[in-house]
Amino acid sequence: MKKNLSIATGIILILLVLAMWGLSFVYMPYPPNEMNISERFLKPDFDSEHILGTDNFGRDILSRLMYGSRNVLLVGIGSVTLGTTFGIALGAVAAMLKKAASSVIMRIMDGLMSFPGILLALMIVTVAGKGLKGSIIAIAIFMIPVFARLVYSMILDTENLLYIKAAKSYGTTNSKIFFKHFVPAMLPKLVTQYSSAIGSAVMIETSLSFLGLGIQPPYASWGLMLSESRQYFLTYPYLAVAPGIAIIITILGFNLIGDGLNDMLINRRSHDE
Amino acid sequence: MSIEENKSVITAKNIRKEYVVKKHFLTGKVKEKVAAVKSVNFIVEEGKTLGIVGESGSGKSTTGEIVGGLQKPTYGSVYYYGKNIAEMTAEEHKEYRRNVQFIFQDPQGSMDPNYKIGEIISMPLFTLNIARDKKEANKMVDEILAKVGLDLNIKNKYPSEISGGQCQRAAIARALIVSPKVIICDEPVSALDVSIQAQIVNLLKKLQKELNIAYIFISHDIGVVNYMSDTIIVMQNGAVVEAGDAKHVLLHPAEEYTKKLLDSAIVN
Amino acid sequence: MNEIINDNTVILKKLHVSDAVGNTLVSSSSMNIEKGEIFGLVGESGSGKTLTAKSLINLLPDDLIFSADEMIVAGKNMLEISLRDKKAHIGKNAGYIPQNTVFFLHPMIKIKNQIADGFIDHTNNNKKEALVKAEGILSKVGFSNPKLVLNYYPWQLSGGMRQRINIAMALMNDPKLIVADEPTTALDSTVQKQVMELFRSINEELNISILLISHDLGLVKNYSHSLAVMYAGVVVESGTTKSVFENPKHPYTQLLIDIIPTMKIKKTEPLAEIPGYVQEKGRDTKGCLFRNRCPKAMEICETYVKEHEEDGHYFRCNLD
Repeated sequence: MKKNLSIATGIILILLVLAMWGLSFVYMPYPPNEMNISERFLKPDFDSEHILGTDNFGRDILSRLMYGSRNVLLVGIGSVTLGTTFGIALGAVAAMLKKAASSVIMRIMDGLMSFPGILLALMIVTVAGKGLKGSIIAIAIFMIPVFARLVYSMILDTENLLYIKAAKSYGTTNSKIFFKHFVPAMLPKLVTQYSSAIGSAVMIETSLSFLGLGIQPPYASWGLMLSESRQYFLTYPYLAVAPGIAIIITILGFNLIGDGLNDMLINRRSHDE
Repeated sequence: MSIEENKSVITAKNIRKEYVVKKHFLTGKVKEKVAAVKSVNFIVEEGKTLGIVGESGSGKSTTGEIVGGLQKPTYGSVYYYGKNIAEMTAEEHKEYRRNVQFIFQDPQGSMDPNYKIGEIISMPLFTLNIARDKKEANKMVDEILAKVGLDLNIKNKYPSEISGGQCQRAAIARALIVSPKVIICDEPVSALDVSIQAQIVNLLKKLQKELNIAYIFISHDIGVVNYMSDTIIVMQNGAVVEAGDAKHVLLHPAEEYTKKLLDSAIVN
Repeated sequence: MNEIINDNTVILKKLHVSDAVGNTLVSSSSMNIEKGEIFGLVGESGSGKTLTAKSLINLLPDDLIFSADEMIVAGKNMLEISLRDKKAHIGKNAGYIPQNTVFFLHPMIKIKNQIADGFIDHTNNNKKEALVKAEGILSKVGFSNPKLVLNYYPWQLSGGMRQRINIAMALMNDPKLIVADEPTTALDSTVQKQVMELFRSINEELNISILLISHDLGLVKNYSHSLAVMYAGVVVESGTTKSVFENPKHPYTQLLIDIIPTMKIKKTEPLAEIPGYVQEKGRDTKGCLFRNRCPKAMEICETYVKEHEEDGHYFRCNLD
């Protein structure tokens, strides 16, 4: 019951975000970067033309929110997908190669993981450059060790199982064993981890943008909007509210889905035993 | 290779398996090894059963895995119809893989829980390129299920949904579907209920007669080994303690250890 | 009800166990274990023998519900006692030997630091006194150097040795009843005999009742004084080992006896087998649960099963 509620809530939240994202391609009340100094600092008003108000440059907040969702999702989902692919590949290679090669790979992973996410992202961004591309690369690199480790340990766990031995006994090749037997066994955990990872990725992205290392002005990004709202926080607090809530909903949504899937997994395991 | 050995399905010559227990920290030089299998020799003839009896730690399972190609021996060789399996070409190796199959002690454990029984039984057909498409495979699965006495609707069940006895029958079906010459049975009935053990043993014997399959029957249960085997080797601590015609060895054991095994078996 | 005080170690009448959803797992099972007796409880997987034994010593999983007309263990009525008193009574008077020797002992703790836990809890002794007793018992169960063994970790011992430690632990409290759940199934055949002989000597010397759970009728034949045979959650036959083996009344018992493998089997004939398999569901019927596999089943077996008892030999079958 509890887990279903988790997943359901998470899905609803994400659907909201996706709706906003989808809508942004079809219709935005105003061009998100269009400035209109005469209409700056308008308070949110459902009856007006600017439902969520305008910022310090007179740009429509709702439109910027919608446009920002594109970047958030692109970076969030894109970086995790990239990181997952490389992570799985590395973990699988390490598990199947054994000894020297695997030690080297896994120790590098350990090294990467010992950095706090933001710090690592900062370091990589200075090399890879700011903006969209840099953010995606930085976060992807952060995600790689997580998945590499997961896949590595799962393969080692499954390797000694009797049914793998049986598969080998009728001649199944290593690659076939990987795709036919390891992958289905790992999929539930991987999907769960993927979901939670997107939540983390969004958090890191907004942090990067907040620090000015992510999406660059004048483009809209929620983290950037938050950052820009700092100056005016005492006089115009509403500037922080919209992006703040959007960020919370997105991260919460993905994390809830991840948690819910995790609970479901644990329960399924114990029923099998 | 004598003529006799060339004709036998499996010949094991001087099989020895060592594991490294201690290595020098820096140089990697081996300081201590232990031999799980010390020196095993036997032949298995077509359509006959070789029983391997021993307790846990005797090396019988390791021997079975080496003969079936799941492990490489440290020394010694395994021959399939006189051909050394370590020196086979890819084609010959495929032939050997097809003709030497396994069934294991834990029937449910030997099957991937993510697949249905029907798929599990048909997997070797695709791996070994025996069936050309799903339709042909399906037909072969149906035929083999009838042979092992299972209902066709078991194809849609998962291993966790059926009993141990049914699962072992499915495992036998999987081993049989490729028409092997040898099936290596590693404690095939030890984990099953007593009333089911007889079912499986009877099935194995029936199939042997019908299809002229050889078995290497590994077990710690002397009663069952006695019933199944034509020839037998008794293993203790990795070495063969006694070997010969099953009836002879078990009714007139020469060695102390064999006598001890028999004595404790009468407990059952 | 008779007023005679009976010093049977276990008196169980009509035990019923079901799960949280309402499925019957054990129904209407009764048995009596006399003082100083080895009682064999025989059945295959799904027969309910483990659940029956566990219900006696408060080891039933939390999500299962049980009820009985009478349940007296080591002199106390288990049905009218608080949970706390039950735990204390069972802790003091009963011991449990598991099938799996590995997981019963904490792998990271030395033997000397776990063997006396139950003893110290339930009696007023301290650890020093407990270890003295432990040494004595370890010697009794066959260790030639108890002091050395006490300093071992469980992983340093073989399966047979660990089982003997489990038995020693159970003996620490001088129990009246030991429940041994398939104690030798996971052991090698030569070690099996050693452990069973140990049970026999404990029983003869210390007069401790032993409830021996096993799927192996041959084992039970050689070591128990009385036995009960269970099928699909029901006791189908019980009595002294002698009378049940000499005159087995229930077709299932007869078949089980037939299929005990001996060295004298003719290799050219198929082994006696029982076709089919135990049904998991639908155990609520009033009819006989064995009817689908019984070679002598009759129409009346669908709806009714007759119970017989003569001279302590009980069986449930419509045949006479």
